[in-house]
Amino acid sequence: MKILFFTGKGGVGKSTNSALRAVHLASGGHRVLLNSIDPAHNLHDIFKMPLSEKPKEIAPGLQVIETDLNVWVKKYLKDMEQEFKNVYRYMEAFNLHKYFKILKYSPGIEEYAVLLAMENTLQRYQDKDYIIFDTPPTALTLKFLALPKVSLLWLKELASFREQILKKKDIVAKIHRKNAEVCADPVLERIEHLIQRYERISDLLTDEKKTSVHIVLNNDSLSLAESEDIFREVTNLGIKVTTVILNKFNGSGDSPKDLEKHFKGTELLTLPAGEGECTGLETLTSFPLPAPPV
Amino acid sequence: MQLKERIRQTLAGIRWFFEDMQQVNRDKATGIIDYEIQQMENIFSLLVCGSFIGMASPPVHLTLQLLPVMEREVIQLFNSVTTARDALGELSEMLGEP
Repeated sequence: MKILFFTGKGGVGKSTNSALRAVHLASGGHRVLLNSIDPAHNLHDIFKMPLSEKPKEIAPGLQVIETDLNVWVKKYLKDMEQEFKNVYRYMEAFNLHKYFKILKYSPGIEEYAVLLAMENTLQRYQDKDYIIFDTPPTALTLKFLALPKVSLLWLKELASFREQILKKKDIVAKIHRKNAEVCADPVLERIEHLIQRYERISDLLTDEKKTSVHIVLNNDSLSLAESEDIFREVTNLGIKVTTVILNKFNGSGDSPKDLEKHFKGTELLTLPAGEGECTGLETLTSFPLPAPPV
Repeated sequence: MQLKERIRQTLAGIRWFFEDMQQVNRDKATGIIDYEIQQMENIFSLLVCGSFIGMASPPVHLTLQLLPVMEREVIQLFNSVTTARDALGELSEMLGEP
């Protein structure tokens, strides 16, 4: 299974490009899932049909989903609330549990919801040859791609600190000649479980053979500047940027050759500005797409 | 028979005395480490829950995933608030009489 992320500045055509790639891969006989994790979905407009969380077979071998991030935020908070209630049950006497509702406005919850949605998609659709993600705006995309690594940094520090505490507890237990070893620490167990989980995601994202990022840009300075930022940040995270797609190229501005020096180690694809809108399955299928290095 | 019983009781008393002495010495030896452990656990709880009081902290989702297994640590942290203004008193209590 290969995972492709299409990202870029708003309005450059990342949804169209992800749809084009999905359609062409499916027509080549591959099993493809195209998933929009952008809160402002475009795929239903591109394919001209209603889409939802439920996969819809658009063409032979091609299924499309529009993930509702609010559903994932709600699911996550509901699960957490239940776990909190089980442990801190006495809080219900003071109706304090009502305050958990405000957690949905906590910073970081949205990117965690995107990560959960991505994780779920990867687990659920393992039979696919390609899973293509049409990503949210740049800031959210970079945050969710960085989340596994940031989480791992914290978790490893917390694990090391917790181990120091347990080592000292072990010394005390030995002085008191308590026969039993210090009991298993639930906090360290939970931290280790989370480390395993985030290492699995991080390994997958940084595996060049499985995961690739495709940056879509137009030939204007703002789009180029944001694409350079994305390229730098994603590369720093250890995730491979495979292609840079110069979309709607009309011959003006920098030539594709000039752009190549900004994105070293990637392949630059140029898509000419077409006449009319690139929507509907028929138009997408007949669009001449340059062979991608996927 | 009575003498034998009295000797047995006396020996048992002496054994208890030394066992108690040993326990007191062990408690004195581990008192400082216990205090250190408690403070380390407080710092750990502060690190995890720091976002609630404006400190640098892990992403919120990590805090939320760790809190359900940290009931004891959180209670301990709340309890330490009552002695936070008298750290010197707490320290001297731990060190024992001069």
